[in-house]
Amino acid sequence: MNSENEFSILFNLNGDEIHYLGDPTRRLLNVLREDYHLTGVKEGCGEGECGACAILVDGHLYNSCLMMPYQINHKSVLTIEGFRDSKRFEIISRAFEAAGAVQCGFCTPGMVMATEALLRKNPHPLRDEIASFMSGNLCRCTGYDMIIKAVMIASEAGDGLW
Amino acid sequence: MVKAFYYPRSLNDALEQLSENEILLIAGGTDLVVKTIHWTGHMDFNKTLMPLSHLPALRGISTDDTSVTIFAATSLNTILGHPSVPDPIKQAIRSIGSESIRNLGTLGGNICNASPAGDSLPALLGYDAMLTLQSVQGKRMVKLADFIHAPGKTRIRPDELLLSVTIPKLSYDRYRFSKIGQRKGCAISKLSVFGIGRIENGLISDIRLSYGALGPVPIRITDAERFMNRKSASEVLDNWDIIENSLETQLKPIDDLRSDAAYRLEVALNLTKEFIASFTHC
Ligand SMILES: Cc1cc2nc3c(=O)[nH]c(=O)nc-3n(C[C@H](O)[C@H](O)[C@H](O)COP(=O)(O)OP(=O)(O)OC[C@H]3O[C@@H](n4cnc5c(N)ncnc54)[C@H](O)[C@@H]3O)c2cc1C
Ligand code: FES
Ligand code: FES
Repeated sequence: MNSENEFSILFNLNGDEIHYLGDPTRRLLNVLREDYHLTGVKEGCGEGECGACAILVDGHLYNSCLMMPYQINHKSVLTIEGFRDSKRFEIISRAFEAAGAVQCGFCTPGMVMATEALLRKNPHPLRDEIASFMSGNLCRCTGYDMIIKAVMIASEAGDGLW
Repeated sequence: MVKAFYYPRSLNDALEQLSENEILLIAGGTDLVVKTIHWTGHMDFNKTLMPLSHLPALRGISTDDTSVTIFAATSLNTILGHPSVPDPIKQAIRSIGSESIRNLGTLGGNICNASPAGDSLPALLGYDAMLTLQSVQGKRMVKLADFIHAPGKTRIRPDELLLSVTIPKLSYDRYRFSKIGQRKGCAISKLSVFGIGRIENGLISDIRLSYGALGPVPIRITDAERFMNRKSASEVLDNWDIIENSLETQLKPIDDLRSDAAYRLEVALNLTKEFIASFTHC
């Protein structure tokens, strides 16, 4: 368990039980993209500022660019790929469409995961609560108003789902 | 290349490792990883990396009649969710990073990182926070005010770790934490001002004023506090040159990429004045 390059980790990834055996100090972002081909997890800044790499760990929002595999031992990891087949994703994605909250789309997986994390915590957030919760997710295209609107639409359309 | 990695099974295991080897402690890693990582995503640690965040003995919050103890590897968001943590402390912690940073980042990391702009520090100084450090030899208590002595430098020994932070349950009538950053959310402080105090018979009492990013270490200005105590807010405001003098000699702001010294000092003075003015209507 404590040798230099091999570390054994059990975790749930998008519903599958995974046994990772490898370097415990690789960046989780790279592990997810390279080993498990989850390329919806994006690298923007690589230093915790932009949220493009956002994932949920046990239902809470995390930046995978700042994490290492040992931190998800015995935890549940959800990426956009695992979230895509849910009813809640459908509501959020419709809301993003309706609000025009997607332009180039690079920030979108992170924005969607942040929306899910927010609505789990607070199913009916106010505008300011949305802005503050999403402050770790940057978008270079939309100007944020559409994204905030998308979260409000999702919150209303998905009433009772969160 | 990572030299080695050691995943401690318990607090004692971690302490033994610390006493025997050169160790680099990591809690949430939100400071350490950003400092260490190359643009390629590779990290080079120059010592054995030892994580702490999974150890139950380093997590959680305990409370008694007079104080609250926060264990070092408790995440910032866990602290925000705890009913016994005083609101003035929560307000400072809420200003740190974003939701995801607060899920990963810990209070112990914010303290041990010892940044002049560490946003929990002014509030913890105002509360006279006591730190408990632990090694195989036992525990010792250090005042936060004595712990950080230069940017990024603390009085922790290489064989010690920070176990917990204890703050008294203060009673107060006014408090304020003002953080000035480039934007409202997720920004490093250009400067910050924390104030807390009571009002007794219309007079200021037990006021505490502390400042972040206004010098090499976060600092409390005790002579200004002493001058204000047992005076009315208007009396303090009438003698503002004394306060200005005290702050101007003790705050040592610098010019850097985030702001410049003159701006920092001026805003700190204005924010202090605003806080004192909030004692007028009582
Ligand atoms: C995008 C982003 C935004 C941020 N915004 C802010 C902000 O607004 N305000 C702010 O103050 N900070 C901010 N930070 C910095 C950081 O998130 C905080 O300082 C956080 O509290 C650090 O905690 P950590 O557990 O992640 O520390 P780590 O990176 O794990 O550790 C930091 C240092 O402390 C040492 N250490 C950690 N725990 C212990 C212990 N128990 N005993 C001894 N040594 C220990 C480590 O060895 C390391 O030197 C930001 C960081 C990022 C990436
Ligand atoms: S890539 Fe992780 S926060 Fe930007
Ligand atoms: S849509 Fe392009 S970055 Fe957000």
